Amino acid sequence: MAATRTGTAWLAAVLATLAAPGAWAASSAFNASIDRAAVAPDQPFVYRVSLTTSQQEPEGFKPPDFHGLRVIGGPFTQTGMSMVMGGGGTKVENTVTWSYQLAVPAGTKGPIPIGAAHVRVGGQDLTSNPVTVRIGAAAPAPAPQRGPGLFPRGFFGDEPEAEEQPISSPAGAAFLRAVADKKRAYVGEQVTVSWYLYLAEPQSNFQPITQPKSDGFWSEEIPSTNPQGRLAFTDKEEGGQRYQVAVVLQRALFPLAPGKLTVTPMEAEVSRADFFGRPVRARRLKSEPLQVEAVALPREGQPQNFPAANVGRFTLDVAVDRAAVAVGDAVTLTVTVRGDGNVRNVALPALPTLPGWKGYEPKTSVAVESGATVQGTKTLEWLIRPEQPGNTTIPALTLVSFDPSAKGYVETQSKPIELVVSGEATGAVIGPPTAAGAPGAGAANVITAEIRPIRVRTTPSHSAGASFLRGAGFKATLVTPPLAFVAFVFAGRLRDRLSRDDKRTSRRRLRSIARRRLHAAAAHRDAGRAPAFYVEIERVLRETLSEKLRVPVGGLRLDELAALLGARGLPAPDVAHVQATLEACDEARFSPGGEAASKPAQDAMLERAAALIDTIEKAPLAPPGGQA
Amino acid sequence: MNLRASVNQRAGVRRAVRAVALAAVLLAIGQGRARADRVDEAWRRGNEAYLHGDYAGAVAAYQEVNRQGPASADVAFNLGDAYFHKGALGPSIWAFERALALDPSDDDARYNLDKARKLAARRAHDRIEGDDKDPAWMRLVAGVAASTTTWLFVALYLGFFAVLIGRRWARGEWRPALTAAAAVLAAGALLAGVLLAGRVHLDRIPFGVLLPDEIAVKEGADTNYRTSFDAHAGLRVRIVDQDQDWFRVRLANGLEGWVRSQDVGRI
Repeated sequence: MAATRTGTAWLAAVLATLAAPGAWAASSAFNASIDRAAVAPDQPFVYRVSLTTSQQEPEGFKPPDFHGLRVIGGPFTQTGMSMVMGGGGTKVENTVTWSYQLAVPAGTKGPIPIGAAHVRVGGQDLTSNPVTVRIGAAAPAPAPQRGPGLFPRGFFGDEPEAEEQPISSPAGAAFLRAVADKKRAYVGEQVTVSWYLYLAEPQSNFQPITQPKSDGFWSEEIPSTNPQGRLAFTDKEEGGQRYQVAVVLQRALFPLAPGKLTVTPMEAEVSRADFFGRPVRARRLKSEPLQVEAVALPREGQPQNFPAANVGRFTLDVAVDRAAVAVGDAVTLTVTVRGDGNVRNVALPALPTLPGWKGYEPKTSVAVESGATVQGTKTLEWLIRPEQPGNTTIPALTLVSFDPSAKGYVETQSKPIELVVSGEATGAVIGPPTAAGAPGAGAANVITAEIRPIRVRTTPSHSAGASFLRGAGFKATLVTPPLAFVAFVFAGRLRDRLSRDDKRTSRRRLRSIARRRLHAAAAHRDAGRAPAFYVEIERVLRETLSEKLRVPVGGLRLDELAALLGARGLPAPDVAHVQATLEACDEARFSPGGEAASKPAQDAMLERAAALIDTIEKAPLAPPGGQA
Repeated sequence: MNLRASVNQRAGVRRAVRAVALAAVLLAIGQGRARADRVDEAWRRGNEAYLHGDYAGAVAAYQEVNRQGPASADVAFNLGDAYFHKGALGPSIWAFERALALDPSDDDARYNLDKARKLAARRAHDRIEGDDKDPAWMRLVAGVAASTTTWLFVALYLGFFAVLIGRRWARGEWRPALTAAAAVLAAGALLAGVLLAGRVHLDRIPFGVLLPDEIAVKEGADTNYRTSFDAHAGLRVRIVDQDQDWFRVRLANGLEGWVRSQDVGRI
């Protein structure tokens, strides 16, 4: 914005110069100054460097080296233009001023030099004069001079007047007054002290110099509710004089110990603004000191070790974020105290010991609302974790406080909380919980109210379904049931088919048995083992008969066998043939030296057995239990 | 070689094969058990570190669990908490998104994700103009946990075939009821199968979250390209292309650009 204004001014200057019948020779001045000869430590003062020139727009301004001076504000740039008549024409002079508000840091020894500033005009480098700041007693601002102001006009809501007469200083023209809402209070009870600024005449600036000290009190500043910190003035008449009155500071003070406690005065400076907005006619104001008598809390009804900060009206709330948990899962126990009073220092009730639970360092947080009465919330969050299943009761917690309005002690009690823990024990560690209550305890806690706490179960759960979906098991699950169904259907049909072909199957099995046994008998014959040969022949005949008759015949005597065969419908000659063959086998087995041991006899027997088996196979016998 | 010798040799081979198979099974079980122990140990270490305020240590331990163990909503959730307290909001949002992707019914993860997103928005908020919602099928599929969909489908599918097989064995009077049950199960399995197919398809669409607090999204896969637009931690993007260590990402409104792959956490 300043640059735009500067550019407009320079454009006007150039036009004016061109319009002049003859421009004067170009010349420039670049001078620095401060607004007072000597300054006190921490006292603000103004450094200005002004460029006066008829040349083109300046460029490349470089501020000086302030040599350790504290820069409070700046640079503020202001431009101006003047037309000077004479010398056979009109000369246009432009002025650009750069200002800084500075202060000497406490403890600095003077004098302090301020170096040269630099600027470039029309291709020429200009250097300002250095300035020296002397350290001394606070000096009033010098007589007003033309130039830019540092502070916005109407900063305090009023317009500065243009008159430059000295401000008279009658005793009641402007003053500070400290007012306490009570002169006598209990230890821990809030005393609200307000500092008022009284102005008989409008002023432009108000600058606190010394803040009041309130040793022996716990102090909470009550923030201004006015927008942007502006002072809100109201009209008030006092001693026949009309004043504009504004609250400049408010504090809630809580006596820490009994006795007479003093609040030291506040010091401030008020001033008006001159035509250029600079502070002039500064006036130093000082309030009276305040005394407050702090009374000890009554002994009667006072519990032992009663915390002195528990003065006010409070409520107590105890809650858990879940009442049913599994072993290892975390539970957050929240103890909240709300109310009016010194909530920042109020002592919370001690946390109980919970057998079978592990407790972590609790976290305490405070939210204070500093209105006319200090109120707020103090919260303790304690993360506890069960290590064995079962039911646990968090006992009722008790908060004792002193209510100054009722002049008595008040006991507030929470309700007991039941916790149900399921699962299996994870360990035998039973952590005694940390006692809480002291202000600021548990600064290193990890739990915040902002997000839900971590899960501390023994093993992290995993998404078995998702893993299964991506694994080979899922593909197998997709393929196996249809295949199993097809196999089941196929097996069923095969079984049906096989059951329909029972006779053919039986015959096939019969032939298989006969073939195997006859083959074995031939092997015995070739090996010269006649008894074994006949044993094999007898076995094959009996097994064939068993299969055909579907009745085991291995243990039947020959006459019994013959009777059975006859009963099942085998023709009599065939029955006789079977009987004769088996008798021949018996005879050959028990008379190894006879003719039956010869190879031709064995060959004949082999053929006879094969023919007999063929006959048995083809014979239409009745089923078991039936008659031929 | 006689028959007996052959039989003896075959028996020896069978015994050796059985021993090797048994040893392989035992080894696999042992390795699985050892890996599970390592996972549990890292999990406990992460929790202890977290509970003692060592969030960097907790993050490292949870990442170790992620590398070694199967996907776990619990681990993703705790990782999100640890990142949150560490002040890394982008990674925190990514971890909570991942926990929700694994278990959409995880209310804690949804709550914390909301908190992390609000906190990130306090620092910088990317308002995507023309932001379109995900398609309905995507929201439907994402709304059910992969685990739930999988087990539902498997149960209906196996149930269908079990009823079919049972129907063949059943006596005549039972068959109409079993036919109806098979039809219901088939319809259910079909629906669950469609849902599952959608999940598989969704899993193949790579989504990610921007991790750094502020990131310049480039017009090409190199830092020398002009910045297309700036984005901030926690912005959800779709990864549509990759060129070496650069991802081409697409915002919900179709705007695209390139970011380093290390700046994107895949959900």
